[in-house]
Amino acid sequence: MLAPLSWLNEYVKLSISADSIANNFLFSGNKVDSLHKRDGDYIFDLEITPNRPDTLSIVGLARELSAVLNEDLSTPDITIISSKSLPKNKAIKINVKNKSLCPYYSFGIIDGVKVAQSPSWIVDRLEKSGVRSVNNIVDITNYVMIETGQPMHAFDFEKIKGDLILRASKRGERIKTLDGLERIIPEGSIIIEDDDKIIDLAGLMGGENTEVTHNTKTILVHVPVYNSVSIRRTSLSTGLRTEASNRFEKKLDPNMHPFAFDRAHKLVSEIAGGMIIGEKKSVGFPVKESSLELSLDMITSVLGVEIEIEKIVNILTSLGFRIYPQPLDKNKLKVVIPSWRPDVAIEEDIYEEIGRIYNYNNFPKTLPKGSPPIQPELFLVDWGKICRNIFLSFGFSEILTPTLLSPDLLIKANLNAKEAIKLSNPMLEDYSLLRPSLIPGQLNVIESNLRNFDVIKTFELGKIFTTFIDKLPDQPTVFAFLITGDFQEGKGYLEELLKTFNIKPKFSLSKTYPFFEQERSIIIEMGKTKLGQFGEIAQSVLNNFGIKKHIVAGELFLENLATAGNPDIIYRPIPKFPPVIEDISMFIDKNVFAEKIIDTIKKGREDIVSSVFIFDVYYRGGNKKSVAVRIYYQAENKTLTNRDVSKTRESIITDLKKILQAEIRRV
Amino acid sequence: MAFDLERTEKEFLSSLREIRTRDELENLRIKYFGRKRGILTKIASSLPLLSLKEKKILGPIFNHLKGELRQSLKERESDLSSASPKSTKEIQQKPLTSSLLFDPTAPGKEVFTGHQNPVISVIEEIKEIFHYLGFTYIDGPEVDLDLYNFQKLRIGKDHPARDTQQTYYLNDEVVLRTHTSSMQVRYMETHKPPIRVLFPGRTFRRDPVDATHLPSFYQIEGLLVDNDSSMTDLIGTLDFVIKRFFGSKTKTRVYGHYFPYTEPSIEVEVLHKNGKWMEILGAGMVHPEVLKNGRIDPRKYRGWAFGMGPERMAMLKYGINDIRLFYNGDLRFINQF
Repeated sequence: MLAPLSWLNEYVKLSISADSIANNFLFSGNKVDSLHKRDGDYIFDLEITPNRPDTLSIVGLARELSAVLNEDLSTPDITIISSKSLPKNKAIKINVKNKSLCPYYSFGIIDGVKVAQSPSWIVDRLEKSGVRSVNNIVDITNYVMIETGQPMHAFDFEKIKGDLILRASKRGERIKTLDGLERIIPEGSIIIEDDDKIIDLAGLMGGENTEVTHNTKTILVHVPVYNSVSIRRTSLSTGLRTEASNRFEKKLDPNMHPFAFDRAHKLVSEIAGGMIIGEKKSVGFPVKESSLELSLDMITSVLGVEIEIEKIVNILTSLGFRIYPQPLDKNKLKVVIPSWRPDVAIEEDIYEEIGRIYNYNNFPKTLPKGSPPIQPELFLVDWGKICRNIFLSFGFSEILTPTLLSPDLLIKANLNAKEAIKLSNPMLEDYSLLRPSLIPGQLNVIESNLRNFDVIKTFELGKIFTTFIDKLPDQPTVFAFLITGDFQEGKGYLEELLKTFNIKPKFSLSKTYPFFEQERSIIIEMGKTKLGQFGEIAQSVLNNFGIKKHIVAGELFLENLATAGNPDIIYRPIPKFPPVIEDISMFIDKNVFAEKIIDTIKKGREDIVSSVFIFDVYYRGGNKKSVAVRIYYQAENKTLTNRDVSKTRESIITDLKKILQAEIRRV
Repeated sequence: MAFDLERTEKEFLSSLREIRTRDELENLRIKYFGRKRGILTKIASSLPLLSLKEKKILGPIFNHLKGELRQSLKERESDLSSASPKSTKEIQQKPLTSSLLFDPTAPGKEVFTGHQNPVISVIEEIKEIFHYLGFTYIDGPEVDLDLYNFQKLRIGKDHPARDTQQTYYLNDEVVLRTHTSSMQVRYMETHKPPIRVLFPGRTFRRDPVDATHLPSFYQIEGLLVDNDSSMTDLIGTLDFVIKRFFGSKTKTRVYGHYFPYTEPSIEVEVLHKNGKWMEILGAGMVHPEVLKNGRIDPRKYRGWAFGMGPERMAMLKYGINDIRLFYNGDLRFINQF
């Protein structure tokens, strides 16, 4: 809302600087987005919240300033100097089919107008308020709208055939509006028609067929309060927003229309020389003002600050509330709510009026009373934070990628874009799908960083979206990490992470996975619960992203990990007896996995073999590979003798030969 | 040439570094300076066999080196004597370098550490500050029902406040949450007062992308419900948090605002270094109807809530002017935090 200082000054005395006024506006909750100087005047551009259509007017804003600055407020003049109305030779009826569409309105016919250019003071004020001047009649309707907040429309009376009907539109009806566009009217919009045509897309724009032009002599001025929801729906579905619709779609003052008509009538009579035929008609007027009971104790309790009763009464009356003491209860006041404040409905709304005008910056600052409550969340382990911290210590950086992705990006990662959950109203194709994985976004990031860095390690903790469960998509939290490196390096980080969860899940080879190389990835499971997957990004995917390095990546389901995980570290005594360390090297079938070799060595000997590592694998063609293992023999309760060790070693060698057909090279 | 002075020096110094006892030191001395078979003794005895030209160059270098090595040997000896004679393990492991090669101005070996996205750092810091005031935290669904994101917060299907929250839909009932306020009623439905909790998480707006708008960004919602809460508590808490985060001298201002789910409602601005006031959060007393929607009796309890934007706070704190930097993953940016 643009408000010129000179116009505000007409209704409230402003003797302070424009900057000061802007500050006072702000503290009362009317935020000034910007302040411009123009022709010796100042223009305030205010952000008006949707609950306060009363401040979409000069009078409403002047009232706010009068309350904050404690200055008197005056109202627009409606006295007409030659108040003799014309004889009733012309008349019209407005038949409102459904009262809820237009519950309150005033109208009247003004004859003998001379349509011309507006005087410069009107043009000037309209322009400063962001409205283009058209002619004196149209300008007056706009002027009064900005001044009072009540929109209105002037029709050329001579172009109307018969009486008017106001009703909801049917499907497929059309109108050519004042901007010259032929519009299909959305079904259920409010329209006004005469005997043979639709003349108004009510609340948004009038019809061209009844436009006020330079030949117009008689006008019908219609000042309605429409059903706000209907106006909003029509505005949304046509995409048409006007100064009028912006006001009509909010809850307007139901008692302003007769006054706004009188103000327009006065200006027309003075500027365009017209005079009303008979009298204006007002329907649904006046609406009785509502009231509520205010408890003084509660004001202090909710605001937290004690404000003197005189101050409270002063604030409320200056905003137009009327206050009456309750004879039987000194702690209570009766507050009558002015008709322009339908947003005020409960006591809390009144506390806000007092607080904002009193100025929150004058409140003392206190902290919550009482001891901190014990809530169940305090006992949850923050596994996400644990994952983050471990990976930060590994030298990984935290990269956040967008939740909304393009189909192209998923296709590049060999994912099926059609299976991803799609927005019903995307703004751009680039942001149309909910991410089913964090990997595609991360690959994008790696590609762009490879221009500046050789080694890249990234991670992200975020939600992914898969199939619908009941009404909402399943949205698990995923911890993803990626490195430019090989499988073994990545797996080292993965295993170290799993150690902090105190779990030893099963790793099984996965034959295929969309973005992993065939047979180069593993699935991580705990019982039947999938904890995640890890592997080498497929060459085809790397090519799609233009990445010329090997990438390994893992994605882990945090909630599943948390369920499986155990944060308790159980201390194990440091071994008292020294280990005997020995190496065994062997030739073995090239397809025997490390895990199998280690299991064969350990199985049944856990009390003596404390750990086993494979420290060398050598393969140069053929069916066999050379593997060297290091075995730690160590018992918790004694120093192992040579005999203990050699006995165990022999049984290990026997098992390696028998179970794995290993050929022992050296012991 | 039968000898390589550079290699001899390197080998000597590396052996010297390994020395832990006086015996070992004596052995090393004999190896290099021994009268008959010492390496340096041998080199010295072969010098006269060189040509005159070679002698002129190598002679002084050799003598210099010999002096240096002898000096190192002495230094090491004094190191050993200053260490406790009883325990060889406690010998100082001061690295030894020839004073000729020591360069204190050369940069240290580069160390690579991980860096946290500043948006997450801000969230973690805010969580910590509120933890001091007894707040816990939890996140919920990013894709939520219209019911929790709007309707239970008094934003009906035709409410004009929907204009300010451009919304992505999956269908008529399901939205990408436009704010973390969607967690308020969800949490109240399953928890009894007193409540002090933060809801940090991702939110979405259907806005055109520019330096200050992204389709997804983070918010931190806070909620307190008890039988005694007030606006002064809310304003005092926010003032404390802002000062703890931006510095104790930070200037703030508070003014009335409108949110359908709080009454009274306020916004808070922080004075930026550039002299401009920057809005960083909205807050207010929880509307009685919202409490009722969360199955809490508004006659017994009141509460307050706020929502702040960690990106905006990071931008203010670190002087960042483009919100897209948080999400394009450029490590040249991330590595600064």
